[in-house]
Amino acid sequence: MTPVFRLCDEYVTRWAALDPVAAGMRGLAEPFGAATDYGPDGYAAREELIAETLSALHAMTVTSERDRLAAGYLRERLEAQQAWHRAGEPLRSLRTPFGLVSTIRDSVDLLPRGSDDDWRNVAARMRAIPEMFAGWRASLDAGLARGTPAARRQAVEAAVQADRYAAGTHDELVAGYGDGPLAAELAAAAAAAHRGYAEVARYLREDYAPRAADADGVGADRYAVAARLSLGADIDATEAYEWGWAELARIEAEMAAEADRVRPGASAGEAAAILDETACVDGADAYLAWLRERHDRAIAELDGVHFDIAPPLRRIDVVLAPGSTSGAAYYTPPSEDLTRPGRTWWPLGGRQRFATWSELSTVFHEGVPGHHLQNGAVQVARDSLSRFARSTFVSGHGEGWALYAERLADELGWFDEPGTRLGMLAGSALRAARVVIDIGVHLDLPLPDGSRWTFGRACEVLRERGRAEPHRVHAEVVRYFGWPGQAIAYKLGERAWLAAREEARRRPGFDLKRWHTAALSLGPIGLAGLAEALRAV
Amino acid sequence: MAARERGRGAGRSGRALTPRGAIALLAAAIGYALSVCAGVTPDELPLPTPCAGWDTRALLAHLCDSTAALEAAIRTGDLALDPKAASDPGQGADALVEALRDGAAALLCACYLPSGRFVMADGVPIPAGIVACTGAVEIAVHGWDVSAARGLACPIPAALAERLLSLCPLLLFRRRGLFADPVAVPPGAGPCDRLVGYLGRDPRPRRWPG
Repeated sequence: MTPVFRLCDEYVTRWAALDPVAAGMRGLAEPFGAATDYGPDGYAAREELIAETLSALHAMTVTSERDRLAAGYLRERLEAQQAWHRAGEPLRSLRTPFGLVSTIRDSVDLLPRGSDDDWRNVAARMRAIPEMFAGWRASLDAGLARGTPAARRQAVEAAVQADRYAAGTHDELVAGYGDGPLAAELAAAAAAAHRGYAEVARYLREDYAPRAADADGVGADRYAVAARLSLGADIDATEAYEWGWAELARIEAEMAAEADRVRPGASAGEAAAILDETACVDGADAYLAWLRERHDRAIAELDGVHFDIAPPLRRIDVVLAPGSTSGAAYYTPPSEDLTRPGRTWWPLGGRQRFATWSELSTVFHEGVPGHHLQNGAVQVARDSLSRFARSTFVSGHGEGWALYAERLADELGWFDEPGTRLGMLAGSALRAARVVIDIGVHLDLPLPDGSRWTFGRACEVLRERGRAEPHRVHAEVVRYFGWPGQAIAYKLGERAWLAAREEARRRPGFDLKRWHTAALSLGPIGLAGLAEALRAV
Repeated sequence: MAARERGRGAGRSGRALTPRGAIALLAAAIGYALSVCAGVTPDELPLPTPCAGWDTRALLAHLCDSTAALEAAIRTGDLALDPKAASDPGQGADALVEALRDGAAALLCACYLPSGRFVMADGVPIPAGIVACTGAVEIAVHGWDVSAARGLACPIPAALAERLLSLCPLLLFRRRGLFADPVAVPPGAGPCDRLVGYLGRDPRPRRWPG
């Protein structure tokens, strides 16, 4: 192992000890830790580790191309995180639906449950939830004292999320254990966790919200830090904003043509209404069966033809997420030792009928050739990638790839059932709408008609231009408002992947299957370095 | 000039808000109501409640509608005297509670908006703080109704009940049609019992007529 690889390894080990919740979420095979310290001291310790690691890296010499990639990736990620710490973000780290409340809650579900020791860990994690929230509150209070509050909307919405969890979010898991010897311990731990959610809901609603920031937008300086963290690149936000509007218009023109195929003269909305009644399944069981069949079919059709899929990755778990509040499907990667498979999660959103025409594209995004293939390729690459690369993720790179995967599915002719290509385009419109909403809101840029962004206007644009399903709109917009720079990762990442592929295509002897395999084997890379790294493929 | 504009203009100060004390009261009432409504099962929806003629489903739907009407009033500066129903009475238990949570979040966000200090109700300007406090009474007491219907022993927290009780004579000086006549409670009764008694409920645990 080279010194750079050893440093990456040490960083992951030390980081996992400082943040066992996130480490478990990422599937790291580290000793179990019940709690992460979300208090100011915990954040300070993680910031110190970043500084020490960067300092050590600075003194190292790379010895190979793999070394150079590993060092470059480590440096880029840690510098982006360091900027986030220095901007005081840990003391106002309050966002929903994908924030600390859901992270802590979901971390329980992702713990292994095979043995009694595993179940003891589950109980320990649940018992630690009030303590973790206490630490978080100390950080948020410190942020308020320093005059750096998070947005009030995030506090109020996070309170709602915590209330929802307080109603018994871990009961089903505890019931799943049955009446074994740890049943009472698990029930008591779940009750403690539920009290913790209730108390943090009260804190957010009654103590934090009154002192929170009125404005949702974070402004140019904070946005630059956040976008760098999500993309691994500094962006020209104004250029991206204008491109986002143009891209949205381009997609809408394609949608109009596709809608005409559903019924001549139909608008996209009318076509969607027709498809909602004709290309759907009824009931959660039928939905799950359809999802599983489509995941399996995609793997069977890709493997050996367009990609070489390693045997451990030919299995993917597909599960419903009835309690999810995000409104959107998501993916959790396989564990480091591949004992926990990659898993796609599908919220029900209160629906009984599920429009398959619009969801097929998401199967390719979350499963293969999207996140599962990419994350899995990183895990099976083993020692050719640093442990840091195997256990971390850059949204711009990963989400960009997943959106590129939807585009690839289109190129492969996989949207041949009625309406499914319209579904893919609607998903693309959603991602383009995210670009204009995210940048527009946080930088307070005018809409094309000169008006200004508000929460209501963002919901309207997402619903009418982004074609978002009604049950997703509210949660999506809350997410963009609370997580600056993340929502743009999909479209801007896809743009970077497409540009890199076009550049590669112009080179003699280009082979798409080989290029994909080689590109994924590089592991995650910030978008700033993606083009250069792919040039070497 | 529209009533709404008059209402908003009455207190325009650039950043006039519902008074923070009123919002705190409303937030506490919401927290209580959400906690007792959490986990309502489909089997509990037909349970009778202390509100004559209303089962738990109707009461939850009413809470959703009241919350939505209050949010609209504070956001727009106009109180609709006959608001459209925001809830779908055919919704399941989970969906009703979820709608209440979302409505509660929207209501709290609206309270902090830089809007006017007055809400117009039938041409009469009412201070936004009074509207918010009245909403707190409504939400807390209907939360208690749900709790009673479900047989939960979850009284309104003492501090919240005391504060609401102290405001009730001011807020409900014209209570006819809104609440039944006060019910006598034993001497030494706690703040929650005194509050719900004042608002026409018998605080003793019992089954309510269907």
